[in-house]
Amino acid sequence: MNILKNKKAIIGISAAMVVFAAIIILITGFDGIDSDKIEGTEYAQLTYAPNVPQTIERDHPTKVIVKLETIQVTGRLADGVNYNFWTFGGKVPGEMIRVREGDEVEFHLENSPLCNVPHSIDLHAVSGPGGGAVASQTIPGHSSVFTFKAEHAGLYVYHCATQPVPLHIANGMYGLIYVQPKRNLPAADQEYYIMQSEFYTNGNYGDQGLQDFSLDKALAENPTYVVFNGAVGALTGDNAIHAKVGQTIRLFVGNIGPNLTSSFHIIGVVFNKVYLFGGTEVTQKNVQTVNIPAGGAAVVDFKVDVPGTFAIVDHSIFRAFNKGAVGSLVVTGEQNKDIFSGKQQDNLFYGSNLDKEVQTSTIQSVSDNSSSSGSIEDIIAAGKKVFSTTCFACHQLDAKGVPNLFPPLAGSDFLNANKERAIGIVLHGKNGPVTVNGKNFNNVMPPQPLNDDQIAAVLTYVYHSFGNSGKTVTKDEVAKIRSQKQVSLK
Amino acid sequence: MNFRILNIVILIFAITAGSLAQFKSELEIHSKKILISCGYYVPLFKDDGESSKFFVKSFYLDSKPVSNGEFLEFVKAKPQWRKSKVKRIFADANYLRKWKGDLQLGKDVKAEDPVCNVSWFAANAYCRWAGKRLPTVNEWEYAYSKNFFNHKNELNSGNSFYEWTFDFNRINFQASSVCGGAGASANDPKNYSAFLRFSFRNSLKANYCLNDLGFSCVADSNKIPSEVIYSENY
Repeated sequence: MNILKNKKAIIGISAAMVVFAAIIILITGFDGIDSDKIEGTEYAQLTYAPNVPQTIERDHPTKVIVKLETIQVTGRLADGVNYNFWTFGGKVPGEMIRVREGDEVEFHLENSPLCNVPHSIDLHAVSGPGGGAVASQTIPGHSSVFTFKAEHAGLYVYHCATQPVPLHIANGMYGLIYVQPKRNLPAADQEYYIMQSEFYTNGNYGDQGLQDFSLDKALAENPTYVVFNGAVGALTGDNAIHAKVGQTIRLFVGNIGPNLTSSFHIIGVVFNKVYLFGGTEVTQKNVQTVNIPAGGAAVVDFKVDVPGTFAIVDHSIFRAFNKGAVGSLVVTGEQNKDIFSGKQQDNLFYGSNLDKEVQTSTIQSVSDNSSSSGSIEDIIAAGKKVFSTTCFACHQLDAKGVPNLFPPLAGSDFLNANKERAIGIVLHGKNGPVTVNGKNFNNVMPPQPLNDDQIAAVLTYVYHSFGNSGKTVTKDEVAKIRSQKQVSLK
Repeated sequence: MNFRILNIVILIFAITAGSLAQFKSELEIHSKKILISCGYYVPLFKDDGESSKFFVKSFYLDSKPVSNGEFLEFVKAKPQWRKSKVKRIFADANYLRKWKGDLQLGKDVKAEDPVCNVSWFAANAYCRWAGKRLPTVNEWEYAYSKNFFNHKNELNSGNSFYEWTFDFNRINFQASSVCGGAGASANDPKNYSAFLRFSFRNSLKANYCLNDLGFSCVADSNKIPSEVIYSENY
């Protein structure tokens, strides 16, 4: 009996173990995440911004060899402006590195013999002293090798960490390393690499020629330039990034500072998913602006459903407008009017609450003086005030107008021929071609936000001046025309 | 105080010169020596327990870094320091890299220009041969702070020239101050030019031979006539 019982128990336990193992295999093996064993060796693909190394398709970790050369180069910071950049790989930002979570990364830092200072690298993806900085201190004409395990998936900044560190960063020594998660993010159609940074020069923004580093501006955290991908215009025009309507676009965005936090934004785009701080989880959906700290990163995914050029900016907006922090995303493809119509109407607008404005504005005093009970001199005086605050801007103080633009009121056949028409034009404006004293004009006169007293006064003033016919316009005449729904302006 | 009086310029006479010709050539290639009068110097960094300022004794500093021509005399006299003979533990493969041969400078290397691509061991051996020594970091920085060197450290222009010091790796600068931490322990965190020099020295090993790295010699001043020893800091 005992033996039989034991047998049953053993069979039961064995069956349970088989089921358990099957479940484990199902969970792990199904996604292809079946190995943590390092297999093989390969060289990392490195890309210059805005390009991103291709997705790693491997389902196992490997030994990845990364070689980065530090070199000092004189290059373009803006049109006609040069700077002695210190770089990883000869450009700012440095080459982007992509490895897979679990990879063993053998890192070679090669300091060009043409450099005149030592360099090193601190990769924020590295767990270890200085992120590799101590192990990679390298004098010109030497190279250093160290190895680290890419333990933590995510997007990380790297930078030079040789003293004085702020100077090495300010001169251009930074880039991004992406540790692709074992379970990769959903595929995107386009991936791009953008790095924001500041430059501090002794000269002002746009001052021509080779510019020196300004320690004073750096200490004051007052950059001369704030740029994407190392220079003004490095992400616009021929350097713009591209996508097609409906594609999923993924941006790997870093900000090195060295001082400022970025308010990363694309005008006319909502980020569908944000992996804040470059982590591996979607932290928020439908985000307008992403904060990226100095020495930090973010991954953003979005779709653009209509064609056009979309400005990439630091929405700390003076940096975009005055210091260079602008890029372009050019999207091509079919228009979709349901998503965005484009401009449907172009109308004139004269402000809201007209009546209220008229009654409470300074014109009130004019109105008081121009009441119909006043003498003709009072009315003309009030009309002159209206003319010299409203009409003169186009028709000029001498009422002679501006040739080809604004018709004259002085000695105007058009004005003198028809008083009612003149009242109607002041009330409702005039749009399109008109011939005055034999000259053709084609422009827009907006309706004037004046009350009946004011219109009567100003027209009376104009008719009594400038060699005109001397007609008088009353408040009642204005009121009568105002009350007519349709006024012929012909 | 008046430096023109204090920093008396004295010519080195080649006491051991054998012939008149040799004497002449040494006159041409040897630099003048300058008395750096004693004083206090505040280092950028100090080790724990050290005082924040150092007293630097008076010493003689050569007015120019050692030249290719001077170094050629040295390797003529000391064959073990010739390009083809030197041991790798004393000088790496870049030793006298721009020289054409053991005793030939080559057309791109001027005799009067500072010698570069020399290791600490070689620089130290030269100094001993010349009856002098390498300056300490404190002596070098003290003299630099008093504008006794022509070469400047521009913060990013790329025209730097560095010099060996006897105790170049005395302060363990990087290990104690990775990344942003360095500023906090420095006496003057805005002295970026000094940071560059300390950082450079700290990345060196004694057999390294670099393009922008040469050296100057100093000598103790105890043979100086007593009347010229003076300092405002005494």
